[in-house]
Amino acid sequence: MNWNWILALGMGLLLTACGGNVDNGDAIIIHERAADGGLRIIKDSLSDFAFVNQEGDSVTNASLAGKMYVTDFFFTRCPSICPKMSQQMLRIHDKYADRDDIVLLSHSIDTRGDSIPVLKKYAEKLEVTADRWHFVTGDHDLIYQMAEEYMIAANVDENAPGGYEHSGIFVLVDGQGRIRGYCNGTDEEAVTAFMNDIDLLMNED
Amino acid sequence: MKIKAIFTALLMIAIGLIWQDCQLNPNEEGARLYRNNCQSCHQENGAALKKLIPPLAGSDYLTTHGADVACIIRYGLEGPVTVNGVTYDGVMAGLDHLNAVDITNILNYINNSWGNDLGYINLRDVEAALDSCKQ
Repeated sequence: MNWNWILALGMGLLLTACGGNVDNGDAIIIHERAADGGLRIIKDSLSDFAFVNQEGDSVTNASLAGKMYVTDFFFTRCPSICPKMSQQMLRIHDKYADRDDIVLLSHSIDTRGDSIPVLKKYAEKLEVTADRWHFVTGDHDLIYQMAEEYMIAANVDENAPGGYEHSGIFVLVDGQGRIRGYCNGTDEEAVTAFMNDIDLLMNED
Repeated sequence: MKIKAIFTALLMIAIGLIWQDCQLNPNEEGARLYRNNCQSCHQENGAALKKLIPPLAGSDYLTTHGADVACIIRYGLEGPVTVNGVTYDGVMAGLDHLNAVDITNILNYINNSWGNDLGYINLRDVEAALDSCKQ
């Protein structure tokens, strides 16, 4: 018996066995601590904004002042990463359901399709309310400008699934309107670490 | 000689482990297609997402619709649908890049995962279903 032949066959089997496991390799975890172990101030101010949530109420930097918030950009007809983002956002929602010092803020980048009633229906399907989780729409240019301010990629792209291209990043903003953390909102482990960051921020004085 | 014997033994163990792994996942191709095409909405475990996305795990809809589910995978679904007594009113995009073999693999993966035990659908039935709903 030729050993090398057996080895080659064995290696071949190992390589082809069960087909390739293709995983989502784009798990970006932006997760850094300041020297004292606390959260860094990644950006120390954001422009003023004024949007309208699923109840038709206005949501502005002033109305959110004093509260920390977690924000993302999505659209309700998004067939790709948004359900996963909503699922992970729900984990954050559920963990801090009884705290009034944190809210969630999801911006729709589909300002034509996602009217206030559409956003309200979406929130109802997720069984969440505007006191905990704002789904906002508003001026198209201002939404995209804010995406840039939060350093999130969002584009109108006819070739992307659903017509819009955007990243699944969650951003943590503190009560003074400063960016304090990021995570990949489609990655369960990253979101778990992100919630530890939120805990740290809550304990900051 | 001794080294070769040890090496071969290790190789046999590795092959054995992988063989066992394959036995546990009889529909690895279906699993791969599910991950790439379905999982971002229907989740790793086929669970519902509140009232936004219906469950695949333990879904009575799969039990009652058999091969016709192939049509939903290819052409999508819009409007109300009732699963396990809950009405879901949303939009699922069709996946028209999947051929009948892919769809069969996905169906068989879904129908036999997460506690689902709905048996196997063959390619002929899927092709017949897809013919009947051609758009």
